[in-house]
Amino acid sequence: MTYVMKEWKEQSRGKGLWLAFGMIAVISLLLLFQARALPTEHSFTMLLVSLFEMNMYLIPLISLFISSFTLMQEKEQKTMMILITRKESYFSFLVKKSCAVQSITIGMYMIWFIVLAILAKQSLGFRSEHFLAFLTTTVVLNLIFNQIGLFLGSICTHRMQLMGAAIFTWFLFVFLSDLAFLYWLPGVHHGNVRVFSILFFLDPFHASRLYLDTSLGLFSLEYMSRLMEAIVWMKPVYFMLMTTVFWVGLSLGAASLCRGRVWSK
Amino acid sequence: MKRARKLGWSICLGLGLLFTVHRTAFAGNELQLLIDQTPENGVLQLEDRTYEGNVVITKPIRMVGSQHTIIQGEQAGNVIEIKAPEVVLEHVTVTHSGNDRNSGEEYAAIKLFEDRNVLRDITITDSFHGIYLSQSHENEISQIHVTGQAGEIASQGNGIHLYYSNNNQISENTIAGTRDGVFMDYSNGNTITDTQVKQTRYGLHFMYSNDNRLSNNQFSLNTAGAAVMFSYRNTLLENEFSLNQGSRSFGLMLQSSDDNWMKDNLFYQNLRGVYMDQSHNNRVEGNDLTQNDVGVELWGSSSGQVFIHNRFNRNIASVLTFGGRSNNEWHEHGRGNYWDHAPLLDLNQDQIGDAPMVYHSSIYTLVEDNELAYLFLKSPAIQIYEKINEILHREQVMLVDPYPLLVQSTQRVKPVSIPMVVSIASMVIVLFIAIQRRRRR
Repeated sequence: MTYVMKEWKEQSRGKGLWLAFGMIAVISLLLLFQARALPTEHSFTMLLVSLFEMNMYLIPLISLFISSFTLMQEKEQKTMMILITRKESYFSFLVKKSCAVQSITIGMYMIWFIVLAILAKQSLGFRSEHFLAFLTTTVVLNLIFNQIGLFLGSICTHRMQLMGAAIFTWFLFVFLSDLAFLYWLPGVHHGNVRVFSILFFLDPFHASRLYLDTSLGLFSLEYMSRLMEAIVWMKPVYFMLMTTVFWVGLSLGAASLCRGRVWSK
Repeated sequence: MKRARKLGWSICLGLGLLFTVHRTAFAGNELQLLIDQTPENGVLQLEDRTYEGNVVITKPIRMVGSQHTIIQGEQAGNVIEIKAPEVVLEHVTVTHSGNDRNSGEEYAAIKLFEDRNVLRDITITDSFHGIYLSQSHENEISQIHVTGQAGEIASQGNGIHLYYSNNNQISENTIAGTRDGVFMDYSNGNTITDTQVKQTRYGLHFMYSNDNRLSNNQFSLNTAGAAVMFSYRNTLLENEFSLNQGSRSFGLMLQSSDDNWMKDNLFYQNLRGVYMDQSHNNRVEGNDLTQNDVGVELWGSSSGQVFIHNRFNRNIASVLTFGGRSNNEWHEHGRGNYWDHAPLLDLNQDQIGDAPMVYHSSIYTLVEDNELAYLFLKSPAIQIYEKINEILHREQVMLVDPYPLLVQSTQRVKPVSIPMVVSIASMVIVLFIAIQRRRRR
């Protein structure tokens, strides 16, 4: 709780968090107005899809920057040294820091999207189960990219280096990975489809989009081709869980390991 | 002692069975008896309660239910069979038809074998097919609400099924969760209006059915909106095909179907808006194709189509053509289509672009090679992929519209709602006060 309070004080005093959420608020309000032009029965579903597409671009960017810079700040202000010398390992510090960052950013998203849902309820066909599915994908994207951000913050030593790493990571997830998949596509066949499927759904966007689309009733898992059935070999929620556990675990473990090596050098 | 106990149990069981069978039979006979007692062209007013089926109507009568009138079938066979012309059935709920897929007959909640019947304001649940028209013509079917059974869609029947049935009027129905919403097999000259179909396999499915007319219907959240197969001269007017986004979905598919006319329909947020294969001389006019992954997908086996006055808005790929370009026309009488991605010069201000619109794409090779390409159409990377291939000259001309029209906005914008403005204003005020207080501190 101390970490959460400390994090909240630091974040709320800075402009970064407010600017980021201001951007989210403005864009989501614009999307809300746009959704009102659609038939009422589907307008809320379409709003959620549009918000998810906004999240695909903004959450990685915001999370990577906020979480990595908060760790960099701890290093620069030497507060991390103070915290760690108090008989606390780097791993336990990282876990606590992660919890603090995650709870503040996720909390902010939750509050804003609930406010937006209240506004949407007035003019669109609100459906609570659809909204919950959307919130779940928001939480998942936050968890993953915050944790990757904390990893970057752990391994980078300068602000410029960190900025480059964060932008590259964002570009990698949003553009490069799919571009690589697109060039691999002609070589995908029944023999290697399972490998393709695992790598495809390790991309947080693919796993969370499938979960959202199936939860909203947009994507039916019936009448798929045999190749598609081989791709979607688990329930969408399990793909999402798999990618969350993988990225959060990998980032946390790698951050702890790499940091240990940096110190030993 | 043991034997006596056994005998006692057997008697009890036997009596119980006898009582149950007798009661069902009696209740089933009750409605059949009432129907049989109603004179020809007479009115049978049903009470606000559950009647046991199954029943057969063999003379023209009017059977009217009230708010809670339920006709419950035996879960075997058809619940109501209409074997007379000019029967009127209205204001009832029909449930529990047979589901046996191995029987020689496909069962339904209501099955029509004769002509000129009227079915109105009927709710159908827990049945294989909802309404089945078997060589039954000139019927009026309206305000029918069919809900499919829970579970796999493939094992269910259709909402409204027409088999060799012509000139029927089907209107103002809602169908959800069945296999196909409306299925027509060898059925001609039917009219379907103001019907909503969602969460089915095909919202509408035509097989060998000609000269039908569909208007103002809504097909959404289906595996596919409408599939028109081996059918000719059908008219689709002002329908909405939206949110059909499965892995092989489409808003409207024409397969081996010729001379159909699609006018003023909305294709919104489908995997593919319009899909054509082995179809010829169809006319696609004035439709709105918005935010689909692929606006129109045309296979080389299709030719002679005319696309005019259609609006292509924010589709990821407006048009994809496969297997070479056929002689499809993208203009008529000096007017083409509206393309949102084409910057147009109109120096003479005749609302027609001064230069032809040539649409290139490289995605077609991906889609042609591997169906998994559809998984990436929503990806931000797809635009980069197109750009890279544009630079490398690996793209191909998908279409040429010599007379592109200047884009017209067709989005319907609702007036701003007062509660929403008030909510946003109060949020801004609260935020402003919070910032002010913070500054004072």
